[in-house]
Amino acid sequence: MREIISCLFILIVFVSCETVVQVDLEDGPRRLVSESYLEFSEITGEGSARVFLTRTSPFYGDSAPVPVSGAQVIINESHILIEDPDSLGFYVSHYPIPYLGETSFVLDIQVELDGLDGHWTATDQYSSLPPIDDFYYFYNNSQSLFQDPGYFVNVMFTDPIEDVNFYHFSVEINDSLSFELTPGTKRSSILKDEFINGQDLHFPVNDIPLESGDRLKFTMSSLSKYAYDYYFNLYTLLTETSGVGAASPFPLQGNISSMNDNFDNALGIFQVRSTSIREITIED
Amino acid sequence: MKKSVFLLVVMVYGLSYAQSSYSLSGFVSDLSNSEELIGANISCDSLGIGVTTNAYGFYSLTIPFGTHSLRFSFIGYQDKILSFTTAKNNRLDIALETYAEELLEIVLEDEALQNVRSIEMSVNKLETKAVKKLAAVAGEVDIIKSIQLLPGVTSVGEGANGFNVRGGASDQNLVLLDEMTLYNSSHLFGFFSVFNADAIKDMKLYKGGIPAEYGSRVSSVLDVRQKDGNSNFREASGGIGLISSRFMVEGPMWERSSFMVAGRRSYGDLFLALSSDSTLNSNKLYFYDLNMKFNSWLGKKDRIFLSSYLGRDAFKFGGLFASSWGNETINLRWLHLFSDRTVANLSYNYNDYDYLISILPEGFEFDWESQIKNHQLKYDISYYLNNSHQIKAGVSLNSYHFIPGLIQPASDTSAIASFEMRDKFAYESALFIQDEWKISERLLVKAGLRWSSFYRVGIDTILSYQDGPMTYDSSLGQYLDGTVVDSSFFGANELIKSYSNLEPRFSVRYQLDEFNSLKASYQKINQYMHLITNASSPTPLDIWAPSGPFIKPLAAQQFALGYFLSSSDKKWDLTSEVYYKSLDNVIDYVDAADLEFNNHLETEILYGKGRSYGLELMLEKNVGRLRGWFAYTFARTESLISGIDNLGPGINNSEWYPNPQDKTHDFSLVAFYDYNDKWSFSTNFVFATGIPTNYPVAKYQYEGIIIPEYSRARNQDRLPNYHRLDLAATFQPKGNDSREWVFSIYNVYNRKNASSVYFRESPDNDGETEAVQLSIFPILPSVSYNFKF
Repeated sequence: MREIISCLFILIVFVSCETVVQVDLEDGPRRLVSESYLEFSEITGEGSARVFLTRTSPFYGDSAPVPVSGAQVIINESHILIEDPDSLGFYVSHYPIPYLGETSFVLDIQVELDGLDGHWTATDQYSSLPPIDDFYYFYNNSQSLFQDPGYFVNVMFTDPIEDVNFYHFSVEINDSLSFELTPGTKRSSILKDEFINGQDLHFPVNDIPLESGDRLKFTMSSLSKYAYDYYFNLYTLLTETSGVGAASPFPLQGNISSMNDNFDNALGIFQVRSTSIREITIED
Repeated sequence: MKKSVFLLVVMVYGLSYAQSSYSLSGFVSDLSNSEELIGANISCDSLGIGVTTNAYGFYSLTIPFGTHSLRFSFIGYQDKILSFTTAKNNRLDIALETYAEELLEIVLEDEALQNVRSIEMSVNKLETKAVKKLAAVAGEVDIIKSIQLLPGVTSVGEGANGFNVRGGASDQNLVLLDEMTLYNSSHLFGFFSVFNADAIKDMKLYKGGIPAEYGSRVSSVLDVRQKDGNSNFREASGGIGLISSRFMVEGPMWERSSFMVAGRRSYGDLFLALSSDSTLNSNKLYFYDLNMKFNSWLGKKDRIFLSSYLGRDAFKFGGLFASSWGNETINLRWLHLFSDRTVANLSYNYNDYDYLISILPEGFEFDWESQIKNHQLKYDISYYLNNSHQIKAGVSLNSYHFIPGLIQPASDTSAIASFEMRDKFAYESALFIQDEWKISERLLVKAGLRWSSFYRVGIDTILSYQDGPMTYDSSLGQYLDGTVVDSSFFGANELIKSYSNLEPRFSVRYQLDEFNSLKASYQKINQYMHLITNASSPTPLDIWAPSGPFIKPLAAQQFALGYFLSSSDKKWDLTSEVYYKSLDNVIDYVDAADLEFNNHLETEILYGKGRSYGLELMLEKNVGRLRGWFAYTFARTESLISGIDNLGPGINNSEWYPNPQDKTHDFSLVAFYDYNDKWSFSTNFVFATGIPTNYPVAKYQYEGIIIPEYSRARNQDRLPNYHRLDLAATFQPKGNDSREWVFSIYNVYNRKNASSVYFRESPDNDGETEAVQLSIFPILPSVSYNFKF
């Protein structure tokens, strides 16, 4: 009963409700979207590149990405990415890309399609990644309003004090991304070292408790400041432009500029990362 | 030499006048509790002269030798007519008695022409008695929500913080409580205002024609005065509502002194504490207000006031998030009567607004504290030269200490290192003089000049940039941070940047006849403080920043023209005004501006100009059992941000775009009906154009997340129109306000008004996208009980 009274009070105060509505929207021009990565492995020091080219679609239409096939995709003028014949729009490097001390990498995309012709280019900075010092799981039996007891996985590493660092964390539990950005939307998370510079970091990577037999894959990557800002703006757009008196939504811009018309810059971003991967299976 | 001649002329003029006339001065108060009445009329019909009491209830009238009939009057009070013989300067304090309910109609008719006669325009007033009879969210009487029923005042939505006046943002309103500046005027992130109606004596909102004594904010001044306390006898009053309860006690302390203490507190945490579930009972959700005032006469010429307000919100949700914020203010005022014509006030004001946020994810727990401290010393003097001239002059000095952010780890295991955003320091001073000059019976002029100065001082470090704080990358189509080339350190109180501005104010009233008048006003105001937020409605957790080397003072000029009409039967008033406001040094933020924990806000800000214009109409019926008003506002408010030194396209490609406060049409209908001495009813209906926002033009996927694509044009779409009907009934079992039940229904027809519309991937249907409308208040019935003993 007491819980009911407490919940009733919360309901009275927070009586807001969400309703799905039909809003008439203008239909903008189709634009190129590029999800492009050049990742250097912490273990091998070699890089692999993957680029997924799609284009925008009407907001209320089918959400399946519309692949952009037949494009020419090149990194640093020498590494040509080949389109996967089984997955249209996916372009991958077919051999390792060595790291030769470059500070930046350039992506070049040329598309010749009806209604989507153009030449785009993007540059991102390389940044290094500190090693993971420890990665383990433990059982936490404490309970709170937002958390049940269960297994949690901790990661430990030290943020380098001499550099400005930006991190990207991806956590997959049983092959599925774990964090919820908005209801139904899974995401990765990001961190910058502005307030943790030089600190020994030690924190749980999962917010949902695990059970025996669960598998967790943790991917930690370095980001450039530009890539960090892109993710930050993406999460801000999706989570902080929807409340009472919130800021108006804004166009999310990346680093892929059009060589023909800068009002036709591609959406998405080209990222150069260093990456560490750890996997763990929970056992009783 | 010219100055000496001028002084001589003034002295000779004053002396010659004094030889044939005498002054009559004093205070006008309420007989029942000795509270001074603000705006009471004192007139001598046979001489055709009159004056109104000032903000302290003081008046001074110059009358010639002889016996005259004087009339003292005030809305809701019985007139007092005295025959008075003047042979010397006299002090005459008058107490007026409230009218019995059955005579109310007569009283209001007597006062009906005040709207036409007064020089004031663009001023909104609401009686707290009327506010208490209006339907309110969960029965919480709210002064700020109530003034939004008047023309020219809006909010960006239900549950939004603050209010908007003639298109101005919330931070452009100077909110004063007993002269103390409040930096946040709402509780629960904007659901309720901080003003406890029980403790409020008078409230006046200046939208234009702002007197020279006020400055610092370009859009409006909300001047709220707390009750002084009943000097005659001790009494208590209070109320019990669904959200909070309140209690006030007031009374005399010793001879010619009184006090008032009022408190209000919400219950949220008390109910939560009843839970046996530790995950619930550890949560917090409450707010409180404590209003205090004491005053005492020290002889016949001196009076001191000590006033204070303490208010706080506290909020804690599980182990994730906690916050707390509030104002702490003190006002100490010494009123001194130099003569029958001269009254002066020396005030010391202090405000400490602070907030604390605790972010509590494991491994990264931290507290973020922010604070602004404001000391103010103010002196003003009013001189009633004669019946044609009321002169007021004054000086004020403010010191500001901004503590934008102190971040500290909240646990031993937190990885967060301590971090302190740089404190900022500033001084603001002002000198003003104004004269209300009655040129003729028809023509009344109020002219003033304010000289404001702002000094941004150290300790601080200011960066120098190669090509300015921002550069524009034309290939990416984005603004990027500028390149830092140097920095300059400024020691304590070392001047970093100063601004000085003259701010003329002018109002004129021309009375066409007994029932019609024309009014006009002009004002120029500079604002040196800025609330840093890119949200359409600020939160209590946004930070204030002073003007400095990068952020220039916001400068506004406003012209207004009005026509005021009273019907010949004195039952109806019509107020109509048009205004045009232009603003320079308007700041707005680049897309996706990062404003949190940012020591270099200049890298996120673009500059430009703004304009607001509109038409306001108000038809009011003050007489009879059925009273109320109809208010309509047509308004536009827009900005033009063309970038730094015309670098880049600015915002919206350097074209005018609507501000978040832009509501083209806004009207409200308010009615009160006294059925009998026990039952009275009120209703109000409001309609407003939806506020500007952005809607997507397409969508795409990135890392499996569906992202709406927004066009570059800012605020080109609008939320759906807003409308709502409220009803309230007041039942007084004994036919007076000693016991009172207020029943109200907010949003009677359960309209789902949009606070926001956003676009997302459907959580229920994979791959589908949808538009979602967020609505705050559905139909909300409530009941509250008020008492007095």
